[in-house]
Amino acid sequence: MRYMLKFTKEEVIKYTSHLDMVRMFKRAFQRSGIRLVFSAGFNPHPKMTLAQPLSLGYTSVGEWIEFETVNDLTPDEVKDSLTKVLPPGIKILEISTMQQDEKSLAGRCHAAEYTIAMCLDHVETKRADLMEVLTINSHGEDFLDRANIIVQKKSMKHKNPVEVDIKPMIHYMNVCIVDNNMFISTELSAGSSSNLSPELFMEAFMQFYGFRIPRETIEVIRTEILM
Amino acid sequence: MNKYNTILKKVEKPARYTGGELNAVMKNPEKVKVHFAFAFPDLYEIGMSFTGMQIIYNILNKHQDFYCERAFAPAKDMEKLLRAEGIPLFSIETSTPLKEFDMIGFTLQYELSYTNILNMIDLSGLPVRSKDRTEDMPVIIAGGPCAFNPEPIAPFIDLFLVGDGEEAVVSLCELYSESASKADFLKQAAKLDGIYVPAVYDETPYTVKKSLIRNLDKQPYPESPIVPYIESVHDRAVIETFRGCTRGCRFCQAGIIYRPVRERRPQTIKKLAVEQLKNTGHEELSLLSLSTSDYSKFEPLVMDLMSICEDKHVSLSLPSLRLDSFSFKVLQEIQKVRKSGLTFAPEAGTQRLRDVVNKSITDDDIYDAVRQAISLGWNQIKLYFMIGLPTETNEDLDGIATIAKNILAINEEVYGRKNSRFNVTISVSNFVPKPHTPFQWVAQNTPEEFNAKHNYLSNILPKRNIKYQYHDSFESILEGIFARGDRRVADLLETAWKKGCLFDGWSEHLNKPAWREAMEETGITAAEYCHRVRSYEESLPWDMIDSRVSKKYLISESKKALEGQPTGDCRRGCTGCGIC
Repeated sequence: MRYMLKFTKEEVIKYTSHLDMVRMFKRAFQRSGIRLVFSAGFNPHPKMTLAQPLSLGYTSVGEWIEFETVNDLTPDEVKDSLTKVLPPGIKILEISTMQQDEKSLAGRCHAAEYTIAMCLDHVETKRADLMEVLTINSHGEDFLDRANIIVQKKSMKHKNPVEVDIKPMIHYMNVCIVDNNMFISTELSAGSSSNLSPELFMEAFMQFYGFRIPRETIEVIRTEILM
Repeated sequence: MNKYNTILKKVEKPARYTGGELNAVMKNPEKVKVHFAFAFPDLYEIGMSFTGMQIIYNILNKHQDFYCERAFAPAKDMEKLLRAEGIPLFSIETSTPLKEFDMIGFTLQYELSYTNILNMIDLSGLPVRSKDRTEDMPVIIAGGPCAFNPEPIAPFIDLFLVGDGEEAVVSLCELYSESASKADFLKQAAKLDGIYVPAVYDETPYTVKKSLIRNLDKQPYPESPIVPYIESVHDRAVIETFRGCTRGCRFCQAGIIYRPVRERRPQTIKKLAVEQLKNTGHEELSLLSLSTSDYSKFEPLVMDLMSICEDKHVSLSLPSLRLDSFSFKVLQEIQKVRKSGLTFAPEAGTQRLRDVVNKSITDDDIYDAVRQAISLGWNQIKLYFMIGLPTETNEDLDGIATIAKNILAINEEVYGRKNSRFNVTISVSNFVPKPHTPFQWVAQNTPEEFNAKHNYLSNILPKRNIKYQYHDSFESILEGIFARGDRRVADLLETAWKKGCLFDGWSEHLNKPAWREAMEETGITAAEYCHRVRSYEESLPWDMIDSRVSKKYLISESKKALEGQPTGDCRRGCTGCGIC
């Protein structure tokens, strides 16, 4: 039986990389007693795939994983067995079965929503009017109101960074300032056909408005994967 | 961990410092009598593969009055941040600064981790020398194989635990919880088996008889070991089948200091395997001992373990197998799909030299096993050799090349043609004489001698289908100085550490110029500690440590070595070492 499961990634486990998350889930299934279907071939591996990798250090309240089990279990049975073995920070939010011929979650994923939290105590800027400008442009109006938004993107394939237009990959954004904290909610392209990392988005955003915040004081939360 | 959230975001692999792994133990440190930090002087990924830590962690945490946490050497990026922000080194379970613990216990697995120990003490905000630490500071203890010559680090460590740790570490914690003061604790502890307290010894010298567990089967062993989130060196369930070895290879320190052989019962091993797999979800099970196939009921045990692993998609890995027909049957079974490499350790290139070191493997053993392996489809063979062994000549080095050539010839013979996918790795390490072995008196080769031998081998080994690896000669000299050093080499250690030496076992970090300067400044020479032949009469820095193997036996083994006389496996007749 195929299942899709939505879960959180919070607390210290946010420091676990994508590959290590895969290993963590494999071991959790082993401990749960739920038997996964293994692929055939020279190097059999369990049929289990995370919908989208999440960068190291990000938290999430909307991750998805799909898997196929040997035995037919009700979603509640799977949920109960897995809940007992998943580490703190991983909470199961919902689970349902999938049709055998249904498209994979990874293939269906096209965008993701993030909330980026910045504490303005750490801000470095020469602009006295930064707060006002950001408040007026609460949907990033002047940031987005350009023919294109060109950023330098480092890639594995090319030695030098390449220029990319990220404008079509920003579907929506909203800036909200509460006391000295700024929260940016945004929907960005995600998936195999088009993908924008929140890191590049933040880079472009801060550059446009002429301010900097030390990276380690910024929290990024993925709130939803859109499929 | 929140306290350190911002620095965690700046470092590589933050999960090295966050803890919270599966099966990690959480307790309230306020509610225990002894708060113990198990300190591993290397990176998290290395330390988490070390079974000894899991054993001690399990034993102490079973006890409701004790809480054992873990600490590791921070990587250089983390150390920089800790120092810049004035954050003292902390434990990974509760982020408690190490200086607030009752006891910090270092494990001494290899000499080249000593600078990391000084660094971890310093990062904790404590003076590195015991004499400068006050009553309110933690007791710093150390154990592990290198504790069999504690002198090179004696000025930095309050107490050494020599020998098996399972019972001794509990006794120490009990004693600590009953002691009125640190000084009182150290004085009382020195009376226990296996405990060396330099401060007490300096007033009244005494012999330290290694701590010895007679019945290993009754000792607690982890059923729920900690499972790291990030990949460690060995990510697998590990069951120690037995401790000790009967073979008596004369270069081998482990072969002496872990005597006598003590086995766990097959049913205990199987139960532990089932429990560990259930509680960890590991996909690999491995057995731990000095010589896997020497377990007395090896064949039935392996058959049973194979059936436990089957259909759980758990793979069984059996390190250091003796390659007889049974092993091949098993290897074929467990490596059905992909055949990984096959490894042999002939150690020396000729029968004569193998007799000197008492390594009981013949040319025929090697060739028969290789022929069988090749016919069964293996195409990667790895061979381990040592150079710089006593009485070695060029003929012995030629022997290494001969073995390599003959293996290539066997492959051609079996396949009827050259096979470009076939390859043989010749891995050569530099022999470093170790305390408590029959070779503790011999001279170690100089770097020039090692280098000349490396070059000689590189010239005579075939290039095609052969991969040749060797170790750095300078590293072996440092290892030699600290392996057989006395208390004076502590100054060298401290000086080198002050010059920034750290992670000396990592070739990319080993700072040779700084070490050379430190040697110059302290007047410690390799000539004195490594390259000199010691006489049997000379008193040795580790003479106060009684491994329970008699010096008389070591001397007789040393003499037999020079005559090329082998000694049998003591399973087939006592060889009189004095342990039993």
